[in-house]
Amino acid sequence: MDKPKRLRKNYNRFLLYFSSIILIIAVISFMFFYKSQKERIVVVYVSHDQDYSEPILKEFENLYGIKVKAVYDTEATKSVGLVNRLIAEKNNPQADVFWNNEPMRSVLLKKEGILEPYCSPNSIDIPFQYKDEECYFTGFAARARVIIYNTKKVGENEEPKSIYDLLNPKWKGKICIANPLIGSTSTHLAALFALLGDEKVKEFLLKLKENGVQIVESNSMVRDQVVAGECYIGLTDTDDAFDAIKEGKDVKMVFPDQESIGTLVFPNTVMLINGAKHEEEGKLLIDFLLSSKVEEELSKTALQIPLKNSSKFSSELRIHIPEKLKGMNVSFEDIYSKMETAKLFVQEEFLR
Amino acid sequence: MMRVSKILVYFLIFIFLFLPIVYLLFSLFLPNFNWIKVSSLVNERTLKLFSRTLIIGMSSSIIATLLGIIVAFFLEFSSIKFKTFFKFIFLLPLLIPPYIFTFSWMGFLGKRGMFIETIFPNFPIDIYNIYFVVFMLILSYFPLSLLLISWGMKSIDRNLIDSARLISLKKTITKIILPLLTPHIIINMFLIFVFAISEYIVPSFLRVNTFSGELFAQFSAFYDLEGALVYSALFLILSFALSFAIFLYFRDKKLYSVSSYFKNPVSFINLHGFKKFVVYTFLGMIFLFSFLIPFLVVILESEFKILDAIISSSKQVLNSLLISIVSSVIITLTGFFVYRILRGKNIFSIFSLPLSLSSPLIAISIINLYILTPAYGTVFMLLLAYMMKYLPISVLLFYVFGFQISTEIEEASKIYVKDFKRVFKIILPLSIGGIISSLFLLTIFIINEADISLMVSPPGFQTLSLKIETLMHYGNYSFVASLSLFLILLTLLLYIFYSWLVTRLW
Repeated sequence: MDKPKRLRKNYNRFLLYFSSIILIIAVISFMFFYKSQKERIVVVYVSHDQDYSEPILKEFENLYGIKVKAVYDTEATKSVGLVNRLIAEKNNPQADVFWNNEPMRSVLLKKEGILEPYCSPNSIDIPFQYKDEECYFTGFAARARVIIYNTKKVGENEEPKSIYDLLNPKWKGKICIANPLIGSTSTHLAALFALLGDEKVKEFLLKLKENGVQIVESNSMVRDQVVAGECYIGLTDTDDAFDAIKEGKDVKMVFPDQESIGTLVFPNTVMLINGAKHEEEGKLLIDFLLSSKVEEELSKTALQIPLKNSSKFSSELRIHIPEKLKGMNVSFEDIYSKMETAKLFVQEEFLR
Repeated sequence: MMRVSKILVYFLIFIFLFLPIVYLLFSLFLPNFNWIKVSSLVNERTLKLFSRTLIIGMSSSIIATLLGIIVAFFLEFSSIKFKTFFKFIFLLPLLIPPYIFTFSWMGFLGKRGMFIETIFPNFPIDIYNIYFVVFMLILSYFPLSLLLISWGMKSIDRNLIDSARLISLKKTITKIILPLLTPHIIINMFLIFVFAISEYIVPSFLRVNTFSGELFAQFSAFYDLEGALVYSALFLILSFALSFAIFLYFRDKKLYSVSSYFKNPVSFINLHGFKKFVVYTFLGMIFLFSFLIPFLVVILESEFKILDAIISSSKQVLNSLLISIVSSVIITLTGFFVYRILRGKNIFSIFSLPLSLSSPLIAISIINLYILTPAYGTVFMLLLAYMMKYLPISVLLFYVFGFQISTEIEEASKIYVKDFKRVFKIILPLSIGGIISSLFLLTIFIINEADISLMVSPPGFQTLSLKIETLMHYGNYSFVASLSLFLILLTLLLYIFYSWLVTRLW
């Protein structure tokens, strides 16, 4: 190759590298200034199932013309969770609203000083036990803990009606629960600690361990194990059990201890973040989420139990929920105070 | 000039890799340090979990590396046919993230699995144990081992092998090939070990409690940053001790060979008849276990809803593509120049240290450092976090491939060619193995990453892997499988694109 051609080739190649670098820098700059667009927005962190929460947030966008920027999460061990992010962002909060799918982490956030009190006008007809008395968070659309069982493996009159029935030796090795360190299983255990006292619950858990309880990753896996027949009985949440029932699987569910202590009923909670950059929009979103419309929508799609007196139950929910569902008589603060004791005990005994 | 560059590079390394964690230690950990609490975290139970995690890490790393060496030998030096095809298909398992890999195997052999449920309902197999965890990790990381060792074998000077073959086959392997492959083997073992001990989803799916699960529990169950830092410190000490030992081992060794990439491979292991059949069966079995079974399970579990899944996740797909391409290119370029400027120094120890930091810790330290800067809340944060997590991998890959580039070639080239041109004409082509490997692996890692993305991505910016993990938790298996299938195909396309681009350029 002659010299001018070679020089031109090198020059072209240099141009290619140079333009590639410029392009990369341009993309980064675009990403960097991405947030500087001026529009009415609200930032919401959501730990409720994305399948069900996303359409509701879209509806809010259409109704109010406010753009919703969401971060979704699960409550599983495999993610560190939005709560850690909210704590880490305390000095420069990015979120305006947190839609939490349970109440315990809301109590934690309140104690960490992450939340700003907001008494939504739409929270008036929500029973007091489901909301924080200082309006730091408000509950809506609840789930409950249920016993799910495989109808092929458990006879018609054999179904467990209490969590104590799980200690029956005939179910040895055939009971599943989700990881007791996280999610609603940990809340359920802490509620038992708060209600029955440490010693009684520790004794119950040790007997459960003796009866060969299997610890699986999540509540949906408890459901899957029961559907597959690997476990005959499991402890899970209403929404997970409903999914299997809706699909016609050979499973049924029982709300445990309706004659005694009741079962744990735990709502979604929504809260305003302290120092929210879009406080006004955040309050509008909270009002919207606490409306009967949203509760009814969640009752239809996610089979969650409406808490507001003005909200109607979906027809499907009516079939499965007892008319007078007995919930545990224990406050969220009391449950929260037992969380660490419960977690340390199960960690020591079950996760070795 | 070179000295100034070195100081600048050390400064940048400190800013990007170490400052976030140092700042976290000084701003949050040390002011609240409580020795009694820390000592209570290290007890008989946690030490048992730690030793179990070490066993998982060591077994996975040794067996995956051995498997990589054996397969690479057949693919580089034997007379079998379809070598290019085999090389391509053995890289495919890398496209499946370990959690999807395990999820698929559970869908095959687990109790809700199609094999157990429909074909052999009474087949006595239990997948929920430590052996199956190791099996999953071996299959997941074996392609990485194959990739590094194959590139190592490719770059051995053919003349050296030809000369050695005149003496004996055994000596060719033991005196020429294996010694020249030592850096690849050792660094590969180190990388797989670090990946395996930090893996927590695979063991937790298979109901095996590990130390990494315990570390994550400190975040997700106890919200205890201090506890997580204490547990991370154990991994850090282990990782540093190993990397320092490796550095000492390599310090005075001259292991380079003149690179001969893209030359025709040397086939000196001639196989005939039954031996050939055994080798094909062996390779076929590996492909069956490492890719075919999990891939087919993903296809079947998807219930062919892939189109619906893609349409509903088009935004996440674009986000993942954008962030993985931009980040992998930038990190690879940075990795290359950092390696070039610092080579010869103890960069192995420096860069292997941040490797053992868990993703949540990286994310929290990044948030803590940049929270009050204008960059916070933008996609730039993701790039910073990925840089902290993946730049060490990129540099280590160049470190591995750098062993093949003889300093004499570089010195000689200095006489004729100027600096800028030398880099593009001599150094980059010789480092092509490192460039392709770094681009390919980083793209895969970033596109499959979820923990960091969850913590630092700006609101409204969700990646595909994050959506998959969220859906997986709620048991939406058909959508999870559909999106996973798409993720696999997307990564494959990126791999083909990178290979084309790099080979076209050089």
